[in-house]
Amino acid sequence: MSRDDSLRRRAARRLVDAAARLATRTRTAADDSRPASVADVLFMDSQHAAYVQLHRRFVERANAGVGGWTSALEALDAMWETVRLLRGGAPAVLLTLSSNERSVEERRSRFYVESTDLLEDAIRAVLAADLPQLVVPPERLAVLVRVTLEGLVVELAQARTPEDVARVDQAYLDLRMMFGRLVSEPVEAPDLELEPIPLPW
Amino acid sequence: MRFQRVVVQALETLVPPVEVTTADLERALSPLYKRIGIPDKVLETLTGVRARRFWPEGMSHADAATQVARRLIDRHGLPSCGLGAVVSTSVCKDFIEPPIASLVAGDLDLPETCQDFDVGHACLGFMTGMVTVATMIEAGQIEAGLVVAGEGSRAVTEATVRRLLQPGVDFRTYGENLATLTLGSMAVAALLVHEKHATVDHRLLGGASLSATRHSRLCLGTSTEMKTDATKLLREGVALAGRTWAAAQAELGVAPADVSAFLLHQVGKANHDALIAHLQLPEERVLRLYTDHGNVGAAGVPFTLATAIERGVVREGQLAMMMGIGSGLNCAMLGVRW
Repeated sequence: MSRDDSLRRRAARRLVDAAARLATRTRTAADDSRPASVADVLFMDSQHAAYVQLHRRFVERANAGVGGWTSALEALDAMWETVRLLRGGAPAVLLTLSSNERSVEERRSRFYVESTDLLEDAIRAVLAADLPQLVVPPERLAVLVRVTLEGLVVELAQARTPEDVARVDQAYLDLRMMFGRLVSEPVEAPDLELEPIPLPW
Repeated sequence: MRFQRVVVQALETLVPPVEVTTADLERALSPLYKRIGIPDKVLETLTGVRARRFWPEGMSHADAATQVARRLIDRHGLPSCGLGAVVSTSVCKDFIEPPIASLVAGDLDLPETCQDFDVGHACLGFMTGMVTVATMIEAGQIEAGLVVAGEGSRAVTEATVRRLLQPGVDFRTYGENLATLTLGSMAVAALLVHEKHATVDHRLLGGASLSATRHSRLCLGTSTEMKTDATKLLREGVALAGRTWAAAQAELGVAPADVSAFLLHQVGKANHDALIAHLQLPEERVLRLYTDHGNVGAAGVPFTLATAIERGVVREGQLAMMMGIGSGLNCAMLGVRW
């Protein structure tokens, strides 16, 4: 990892930490009806920044010839690391994710669209050579990744003990393994006696 | 259907410059082949098509038709009576409107007295275009007419390869798209004139045309894909061809022994084999051009006639039978005394 990368990651981490602390301090379920708070904005902006950073990092790597499924899983790990940082503020993040306040909804919709686009683009870059063998196309894989990470945030929000957190970590590892199987293995061609087939006139 | 006064004054073909072999297509499809376990070289084994040709990128169907028409005019000239009609007959279309024939006539700067229209009859189009012009000549409506077809398969083939490389494509989808990968490109033009304007004696005699439109939905094609029930289409097409051949023999008063060459629509090995067997055609008098060109749509039968003449399979005074089948389902057989 380059020094720039490291600095960028640390900056993103600080941003996420700040968002989580602010969210935890300033929000409860009872006050969900008020307009988008600084915490909502900061959370989504920090997540968006994390997606942008990851996207840039992995597209750069893909352009430098470091692509493939290993690289893609590293990207997933990095995203999980970002999500994992939210642990302390996960309950507040849930409020942001489920808020029905219009300004939050609009910002959240934008965030979903932009982050999914970034994910799809990064998947296309990192898995360029494996695209034809993907079981799920990039646009749907991007949604799967986003939904997975969001689901893990929900799980983290409910984790009360180290054992609870360990179960969420294990869930991530299992999902990670399943993502690794979304590229199908080549199938050996059968030795067939082939006959000419009818074609349309 | 008999024609007494119609002469095929000239016939020209234009073969596209870009050869794309079946091996080329299979190389492009290799990620799919590896993923779902399709053996190499399966496409050629299944279809008999070794290669097809593409026009240069960006060349339209109308451009192809215009170029072959221009080549015919350059080489053979036009009769002094001028052209009464230009008829475009390709399956491929650049636009819903105007007719491709209008684009060709415009590019050739033909006079306002020349009619221009398209005939859409799937792969039978060119033969139906010849019948239309011949009928107009016999009726005294025109003295001469030009029939053209510019077929191109680049767009549909490339779209199909892209579609097959998408994730989730399985063996069944591959099978459904396989026929599209056998399509080729070609341009053909024929100048038909009233005998009084002819400088050769290549007679369009007439023949028979039958339909079986209860099978009209067995092959549905768009500009990017083709969905077919090829097995049923083959069976019903061959049966219709048998009835049409009997009708054509009766109409023209000819027997198989009188025919020097049977000019079949070029599709693939199984179709050729089935037609030859069902119609009991002598293999040595049948040309197999699908091997190097694939299915070139409406241009197939006239291209086969032109090649038979070029190879000396059809010589002056000999009888050749043009035998076309098109989705619809329609079949036509026309005799030409060359």
